[in-house]
Amino acid sequence: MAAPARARGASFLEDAKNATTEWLRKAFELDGYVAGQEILIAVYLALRLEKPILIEGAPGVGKTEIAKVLARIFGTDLIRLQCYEGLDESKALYEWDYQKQLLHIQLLREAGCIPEESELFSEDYLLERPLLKAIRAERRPVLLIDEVDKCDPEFEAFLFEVLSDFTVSVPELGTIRARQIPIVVLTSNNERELSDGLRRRCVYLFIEYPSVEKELRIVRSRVPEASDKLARDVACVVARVRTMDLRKQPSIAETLDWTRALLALGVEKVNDQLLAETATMLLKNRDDVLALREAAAGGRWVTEALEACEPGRPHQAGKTRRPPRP
Amino acid sequence: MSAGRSVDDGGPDLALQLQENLVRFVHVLRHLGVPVNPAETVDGLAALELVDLGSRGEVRAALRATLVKTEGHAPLFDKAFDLFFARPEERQARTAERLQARDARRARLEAANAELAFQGEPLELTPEQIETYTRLGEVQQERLRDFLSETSAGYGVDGKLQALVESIVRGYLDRLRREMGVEANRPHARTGDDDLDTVVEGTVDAVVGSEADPMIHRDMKDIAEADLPRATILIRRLARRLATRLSRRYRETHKRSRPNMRRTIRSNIRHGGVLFDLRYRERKITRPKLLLICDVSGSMARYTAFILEFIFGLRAAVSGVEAFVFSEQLERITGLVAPGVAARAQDLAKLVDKSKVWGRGTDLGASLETLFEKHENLLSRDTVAIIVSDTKTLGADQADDLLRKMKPRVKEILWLNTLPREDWPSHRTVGLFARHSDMRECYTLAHLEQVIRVGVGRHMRAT
Ligand SMILES: Nc1ncnc2c1ncn2[C@@H]1O[C@H](COP(=O)(O)OP(=O)(O)O)[C@@H](O)[C@H]1O
Ligand SMILES: [Mg+2]
Repeated sequence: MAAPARARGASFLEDAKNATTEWLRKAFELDGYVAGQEILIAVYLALRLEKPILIEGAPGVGKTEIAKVLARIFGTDLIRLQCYEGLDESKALYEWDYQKQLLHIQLLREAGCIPEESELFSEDYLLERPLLKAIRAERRPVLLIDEVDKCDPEFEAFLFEVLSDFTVSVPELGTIRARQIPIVVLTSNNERELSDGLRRRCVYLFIEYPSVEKELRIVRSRVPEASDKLARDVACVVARVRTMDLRKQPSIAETLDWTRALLALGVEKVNDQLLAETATMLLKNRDDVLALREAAAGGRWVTEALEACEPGRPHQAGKTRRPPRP
Repeated sequence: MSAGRSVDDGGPDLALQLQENLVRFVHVLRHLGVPVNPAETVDGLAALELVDLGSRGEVRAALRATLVKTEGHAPLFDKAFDLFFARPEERQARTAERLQARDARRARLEAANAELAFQGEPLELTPEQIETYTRLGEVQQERLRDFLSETSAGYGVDGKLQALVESIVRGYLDRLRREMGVEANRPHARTGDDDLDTVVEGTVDAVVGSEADPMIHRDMKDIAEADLPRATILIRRLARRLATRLSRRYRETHKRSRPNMRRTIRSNIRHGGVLFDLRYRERKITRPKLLLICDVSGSMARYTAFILEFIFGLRAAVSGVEAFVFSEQLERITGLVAPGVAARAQDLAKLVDKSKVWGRGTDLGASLETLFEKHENLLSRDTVAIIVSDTKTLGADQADDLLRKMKPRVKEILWLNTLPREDWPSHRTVGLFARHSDMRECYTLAHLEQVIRVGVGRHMRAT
């Protein structure tokens, strides 16, 4: 990777490069993001080695949030490129502002002039899209390339090029080289296999569903109004729900929604009936909701979940894969 | 020499040792099927310089982040890391254990070889041949011993006869070995270094049957009979994960429905053109039907058994599965495909034996002809036809015609070709059939998962 010219004395850049794991741990904690060693080391290495970090995991386990945290703790801009099918260079890199160009032509025509082409294709008419914005940023920004598995393979190849040297050429303006390599965060829900090349270029982090312990800490951090008892119940019940044979597991986002819903209902401890009534906060698939209601119909499901649960110990549901159905 | 130094026992030349260790560790990973390239190895080294080498957790996380880029490989990495960077005592104990096991095996084979003697002299057999003998049933073993003692006692016995008997026994054992489908050895388990082999084998033992099982990269026809249960567990896991993934994809596409602008504007006229109430287009979700047409002649039977098992595990994610097998002729087996197909490949063979098409010459042309004659109603635009075949068939030109006819009648023809891609150019039929189908290389479970994920997944969209 070609080292681009760096802005001398940019103090924040020095911060990112000098961040120690200990500093990161504190910064993440202050920001309310609960991160274990795996996450911290991967982020730290990405910063120190100046490589993009590729974060994979199920939806809602906290991938995107990491980019936001980084932007906050380094006090820099978050530039987001949301990927989708059909995303192309003009939406990702730059586009010419045709409306403005037309307007300019019309104005000149009224004055009896014809504009120079070079005038029309100049900075004034350039619409910067996220990639170009990141490349031209004054300060080392966080570039979030979100859900990269959603874009087409051709676009991924283009992205790979850009991430290789952070240099792009705009025919009318020439070659533009990044002042500094942005902090790049790529996320993927793994719906499509990413290319080997892209994977190899990145530091890799896979985020699993959290253990009971971690989820408990997340609930405490994000919903501090919840009592200890409620937070613990929530973490234990969610862990058991994740052991069920579901179409879509509840994610952290849903755990948090559910906790807030329980708080709003003035609940202090969870029971089967409450779980059945609020199941739609936790599960987004109809069949899953029905399955959970059925499980809770016996009246002992939550009790059992709480009995089997020791937040001190990583819960099986978060760690091991379920055995195949008999 | 040891597999790897324990990372927490420090030392002045730690850096050098780490470098050397890392290269050895990467060697282990590669043998486990984790593809680490030189650039990544360099990243791993750079990472080690940045973390606290006294902390096992940091070292593990650093190597994992730089060397392992696929979630599925993580269990392999973790196990290998534990074994490789174990404390010296543990490591030595394990290597000793392994060598002991190897000696025990050698002794067992020698004992077996003694049973296979001609006139009191053990026959000259390879370890594989003797191993095959030990795997035989009691009756077969006895028959072989009887054969040897009878010929030993025969009249006018001489050296020529000994050579003849030896070659008969060898040929017999080799044939059985092929029939049992036993692989020559475990190809992933030979680094040529005892300590590394211990790590590789220990890791493989620990992940057997899970998604990290290196079996996923093995040619399906080379998976031993004895490993079928393990393969079945693996196939079901893969199918299950893919089924979930496909359903997820279909849900998420659903979510991104676009507003119907005409209806929206009409319903918002009273707000003076301010869009309060977005109206969404009703989007219809179609999940494809699958029409499987699988070659079961000769060596294709094994592939087909595995593929049927896999597709069966996906049935919840698609809107229906129709299955046919063919060799000389076509046979509908839709109602007969059930879980356990792969593990009961024998039963399946019998079952299809009854239907008289199993394991004979292959005629795709005649088989497709029958499909058109008797089951034309199954061809529809919401169906993905999946053909499992190495393209070696009689009636290729007829098949070519019928495929051309079939193509516009279905959504797509996906061809799972069990020949390695490098062999494709030497078969005329590959080029012929690839004109009508999306042909993919498919001889490992990893291929299968990938091809179906992409090939079927792309038809799981909102229309
Ligand atoms: N480790 C964590 N600590 C605190 N909050 C978290 C954590 N992980 C996830 N969350 C919260 O869960 C929600 C979903 O996270 P998000 O990053 O959007 O998930 P993803 O991008 O993986 O789909 C966010 O509100 C985020 O703040
Ligand atoms: Mg996200």
